[in-house]
Amino acid sequence: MIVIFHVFAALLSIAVTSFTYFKPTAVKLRVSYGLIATTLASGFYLVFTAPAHMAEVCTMGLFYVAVVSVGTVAARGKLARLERAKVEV
Amino acid sequence: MYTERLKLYYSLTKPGVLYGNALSALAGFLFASRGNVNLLLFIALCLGTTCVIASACVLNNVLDQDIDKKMERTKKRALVQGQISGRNAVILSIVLGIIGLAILILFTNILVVAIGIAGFVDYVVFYGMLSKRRSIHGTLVGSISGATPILAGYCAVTGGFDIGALLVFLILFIWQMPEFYSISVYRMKEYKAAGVPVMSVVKGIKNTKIQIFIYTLLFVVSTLLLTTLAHAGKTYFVVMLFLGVYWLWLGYKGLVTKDDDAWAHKMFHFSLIILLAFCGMISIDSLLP
Repeated sequence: MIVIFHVFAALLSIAVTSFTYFKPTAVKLRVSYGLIATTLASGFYLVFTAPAHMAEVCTMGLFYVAVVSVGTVAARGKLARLERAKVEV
Repeated sequence: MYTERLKLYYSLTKPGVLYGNALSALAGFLFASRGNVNLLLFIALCLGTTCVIASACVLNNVLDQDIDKKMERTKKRALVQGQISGRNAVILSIVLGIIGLAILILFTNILVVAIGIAGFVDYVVFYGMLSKRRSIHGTLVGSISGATPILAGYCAVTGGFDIGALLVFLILFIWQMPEFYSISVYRMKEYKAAGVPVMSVVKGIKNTKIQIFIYTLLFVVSTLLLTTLAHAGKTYFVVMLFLGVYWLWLGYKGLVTKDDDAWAHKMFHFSLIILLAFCGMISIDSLLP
């Protein structure tokens, strides 16, 4: 059951992070942080409780972290630029 | 004359959709079989799912006649042209549905029958009757039925629902979004004229391209999860990673392109290639490292 929850959390976090990059708001950014944390927490729980091929899990985990990190950092930058532009106006 | 008539009835089953779905059902079956193919079950699944899908497609043709009249791509369909009556089409749909379900009931398991019925009801009622004409989210609703054949194929072998079943379902579900949204970009005028509220018509091309990119990204991740969480091999992983990254790059190009039509055509064609590759790879996965 936890693995299904993990998959949904991971896919949802990627979707929300990408969407936040394209249309950034502070609320969306917070939601994506929450989903990423949930994915990582459930992922660690799975690694410690269920047998898994570590190489494959690590590859996928790194891929996931790379995607959401790039997305989140870019979204934060974009949001900051938009807010600065608003203040200047 | 008789052959011509048969061809018209055959065209009502939407052969392109039919074989695409049957192919995914077979891929799901072969993936779950891991080389131990039960031939009788394999034949029953082929025939049963093909008949149920054909039945749903024929009924969908009956329901969509008013829309089909207004669209270039569909205005020459047999029902629209009056070459086949609505009554005969409904009879054909019922016969195909009964044959398909009977085969599934007799030779597969209860889960496959339930998935078949759920797919049929979703496509005909929730998608065709309720959401297609009213909601921008009709594609999402229709994608559920589009992902049921691969799930049926997988569950015919396993007899239960596991993480592999969830993933193959999700992969096919997600794949349909960029595929259909690409069509909706280059056929936007037709959908607008027919009054179908697809994403490109309601939210515009730019928003549709963003959604295509996000769904493509989700598709790539989901296909790779099949190696991590289910039992797909490393060859599958590498092939799907390369194809997925290319499709993602195509999706990204769409965000900066000015020729939306040409890009959407490319995106759509590659979606078919990647689906074929996915089905092919999971079918032969047990033979590869």
